[in-house]
Amino acid sequence: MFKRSDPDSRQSVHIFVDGAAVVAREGDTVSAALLASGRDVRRATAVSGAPRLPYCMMGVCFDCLVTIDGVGNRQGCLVPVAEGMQIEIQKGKREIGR
Amino acid sequence: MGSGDEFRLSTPQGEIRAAKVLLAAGNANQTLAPMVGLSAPMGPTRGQIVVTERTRPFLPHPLTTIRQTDEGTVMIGDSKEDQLDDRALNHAVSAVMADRAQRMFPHLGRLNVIRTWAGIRVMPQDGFPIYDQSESEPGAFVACCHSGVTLASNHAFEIARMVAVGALEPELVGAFSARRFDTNHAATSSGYY
Repeated sequence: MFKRSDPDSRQSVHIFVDGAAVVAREGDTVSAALLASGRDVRRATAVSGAPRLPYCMMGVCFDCLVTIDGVGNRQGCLVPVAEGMQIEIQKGKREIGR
Repeated sequence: MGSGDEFRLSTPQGEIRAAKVLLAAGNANQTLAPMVGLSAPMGPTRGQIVVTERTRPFLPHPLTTIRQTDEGTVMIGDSKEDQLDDRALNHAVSAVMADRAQRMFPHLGRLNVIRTWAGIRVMPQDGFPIYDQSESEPGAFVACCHSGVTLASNHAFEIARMVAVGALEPELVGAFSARRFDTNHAATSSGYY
């Protein structure tokens, strides 16, 4: 659905999504990297379990909630990717102790 | 107020006439009740609540200070403050409540807080409900209590029925008359007061 623009020559950043290696770009937010990955990155909402993707990309809508390096309910659109980052698509409510 | 067989209420929206009046104005009942020959001694307090984001269910039972809602948010709070201005939070109070909560349930320390507020409790002087009917102004009733949510079914199905009939039933609610405050034996503590 999304593809990178050809002149984008930023450095690669290697992250993991649900354990699978994904190549992002330096300066990507987690949400941008997820959308560009081509993977099914739909989370499930906390109450009804409805499938959602990042929407506003500016920190307002909270539809990008994701587990990053073991911490749940992070706003993926506000967090830049980092080398080796472990991202888990969050299904439902934030887990106890994460 | 009483005039013949009806009550006349002067309000900013104009006059209202009614055969019966049920005073259910919370803490303001203290001021309104004497207008119809009743009393409603109130002792309001201020409380604060801290609410976290949703998390997986971990607490199926409500505690006095911590409850988890069905949808997963955690409500932390039990403060009792004497000042009755609810327009500003006392963050030191919120901090104490949050600290106690995470000492009881350490994983709460990882959760984000999404809301916090202060409110004024409707609180009869001994913490228990007041249900009364006026002897000098027949048709006037008073009903006030702390948790109108907890007692909603009793109010809807029992108190409302009695008011409609025109008399409170002593065997069901007689113990909650404000006449209990006339003695020195009235209870003085409900935990929140």
